[in-house]
Amino acid sequence: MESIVVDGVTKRFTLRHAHSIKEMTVRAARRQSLSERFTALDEVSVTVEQGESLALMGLNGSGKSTLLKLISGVMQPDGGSVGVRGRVAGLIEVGAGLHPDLTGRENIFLNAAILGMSKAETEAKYDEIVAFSEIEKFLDTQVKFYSSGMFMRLGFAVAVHTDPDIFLVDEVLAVGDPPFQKKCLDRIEELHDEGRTLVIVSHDMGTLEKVCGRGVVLREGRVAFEGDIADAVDFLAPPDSPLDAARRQRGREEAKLAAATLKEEKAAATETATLIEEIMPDAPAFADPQATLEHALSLAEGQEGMALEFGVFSGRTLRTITAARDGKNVFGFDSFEGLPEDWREGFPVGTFAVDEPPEVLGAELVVGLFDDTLPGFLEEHPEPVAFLHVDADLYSSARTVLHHAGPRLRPGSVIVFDEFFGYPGWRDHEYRAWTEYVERTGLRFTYEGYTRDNEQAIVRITE
Amino acid sequence: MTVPPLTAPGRGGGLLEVARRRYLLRLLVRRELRSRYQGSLLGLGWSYVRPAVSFAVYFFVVGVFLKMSKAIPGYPVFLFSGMVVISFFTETLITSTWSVIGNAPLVQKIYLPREMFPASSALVSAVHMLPGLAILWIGALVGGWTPSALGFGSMALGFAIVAVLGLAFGLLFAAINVFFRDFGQVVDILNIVIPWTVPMIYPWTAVQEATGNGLGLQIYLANPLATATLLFQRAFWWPANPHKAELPDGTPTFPDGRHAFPDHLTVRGLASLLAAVVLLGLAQMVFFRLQRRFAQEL
Repeated sequence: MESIVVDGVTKRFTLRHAHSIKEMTVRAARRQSLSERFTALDEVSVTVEQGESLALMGLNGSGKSTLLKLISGVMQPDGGSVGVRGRVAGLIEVGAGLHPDLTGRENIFLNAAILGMSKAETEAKYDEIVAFSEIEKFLDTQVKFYSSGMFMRLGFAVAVHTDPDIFLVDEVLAVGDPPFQKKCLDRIEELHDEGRTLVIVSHDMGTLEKVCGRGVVLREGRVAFEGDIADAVDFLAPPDSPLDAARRQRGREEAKLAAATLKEEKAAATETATLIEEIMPDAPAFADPQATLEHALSLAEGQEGMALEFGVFSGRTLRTITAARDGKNVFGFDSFEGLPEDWREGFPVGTFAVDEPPEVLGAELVVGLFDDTLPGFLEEHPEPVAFLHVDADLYSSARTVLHHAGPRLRPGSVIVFDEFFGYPGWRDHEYRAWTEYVERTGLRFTYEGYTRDNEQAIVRITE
Repeated sequence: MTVPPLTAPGRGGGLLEVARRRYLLRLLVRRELRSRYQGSLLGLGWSYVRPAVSFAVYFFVVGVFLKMSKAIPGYPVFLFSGMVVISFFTETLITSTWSVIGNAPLVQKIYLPREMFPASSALVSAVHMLPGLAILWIGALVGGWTPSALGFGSMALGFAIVAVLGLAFGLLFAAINVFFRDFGQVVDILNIVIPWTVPMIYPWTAVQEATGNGLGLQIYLANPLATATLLFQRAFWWPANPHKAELPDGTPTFPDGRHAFPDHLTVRGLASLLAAVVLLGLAQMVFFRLQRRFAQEL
């Protein structure tokens, strides 16, 4: 469904050369024209779909800003028609509605009202706006004493928190310092994700390629090109050389990949949060993996039996375990040749290989693939397993470990999974091995904690 | 979710939309009040000083030196009742004339119903009228004023005439001023003339004497501002007049026996209000047409 329909729009301006009677007489006497017509837009037609993000591009004076003003209703077309669906809000030069004599707080309410928000709406968003603008300390200061950056931030913060269906952005992405710019961009992408329609005017091609899907290039008031944003950028600013073209191509592919990864990571984080809410709503969250491991070790304190770690790598966590278990019955398993198969993106076969097994005082290392070493080891050591640290990353490894060492777990035994969830593909690895094992054996257990915004989880066997 | 229809942007509903967006209007008025006196020592006190000075000038020059006080008993209250309502009008006129230009950054960048600006100027002037009204009321009380339906009715009618008329001319002048900046000068001159075109400093009978009861007087009295001034005098000055002179049938008169007010003042007032409303309608239409080109002309 279309959100903005610009249909054959023409906009002319009259440039008056003479303003006073004297000037008019002089120009008339010299037979010069008193005014000149200037066509800013000539039969321009553009349609923007609901939820689309359109880049409006062109050189200075090509009519971009005029088109934006026609869409916002600030100006009226001389020919053709403009139609919009829903509320339009603009970042057409932020800060236009700010009044220097009012304080930051008063300006937030005034500017929000100018942009069409009610008092209740403003109050509901007030804290968000203040947090976004980063001017908490100066809220009761008159805006005229603000630095230009603070001024722009305040204006932008209000504008991006209005609740429009269509959002017009005119060359304001250059607001403030780089961190603030990034924040603005993130917010604009957020607005896009919420399904709002965006029209962005900018000369910053990189930003446009990042945010927009389609581009319209205006030239002397006419649509010169319309199509995919990358093609629009190349149309407006053709690559200097084949090398440049290739570089752009590479950049775009990388950006696409990075964006996809970011999206996957976000999705994984969201799914993980849902899972935590579902299966361990009351489990404590720890700030970092070390804190999680230490908590798990404290749970296993006094539990008779061996402490096993699968995936020793540099030996750092094994040292923590050894210290907590007083150096008794602690074993570390690793081939030290790295992952035996590909794990997730960025962790191919061989990752985590080390030249030489580390020295861990008080722990005994069992070198080799778990499949080869574990059965024999368990035959030699008939004790129960009190503490299990599964840090082998892969589904196959976790399954092997649980298959062999699982039967030695006793009520009170503690398992720490090091890559339980929180990354793209987590459902296919340790999490899967664990849920399959539980399903197969009917083992009873409780979740005792996890690391916030990370990947570790603690399990304690109950019977 | 209901799908809003495709609509043309920036086709506001004029004063009706202003009425719908009262919250914004209130904030704009508050902004104006705050900013006008920000950083000045007396602050809102200037609202008292200005009328006080012009009052003093008129009172001493016209009232004392030209002996108007003799012809009009209770001259200070007579003078001030007219001044309060006329300065409300002139201030509305001046501030609304510049209101659109003064908000140029907003007009050029964000679509708002542009009637918002003259309307808020008129409201600010109304707020500025309050201290004067309070002083007038206190002065009238000292002179023996008592509340009456006729008094309140006259005040309300007079105020309504001036408010509607002020908004009408405010809209018109604000729009014209965008296209011809000279217009601001015209308004300044108008404001020198207006106080003398109404029976504020002198009694209306002075015009009657000069023109007879002829066409000249009828034209003079047809001015809604003259009617509003007379209504305010009937609301404040007459009830507080220490030497009320009345004909046997109760018609108020000056000491020289002439009527203090023209006949049928209430009817004249209602007719003036009607004319002002019609004018406001016309002004709104003109403004609405012209505002389409505001953003590019500013």
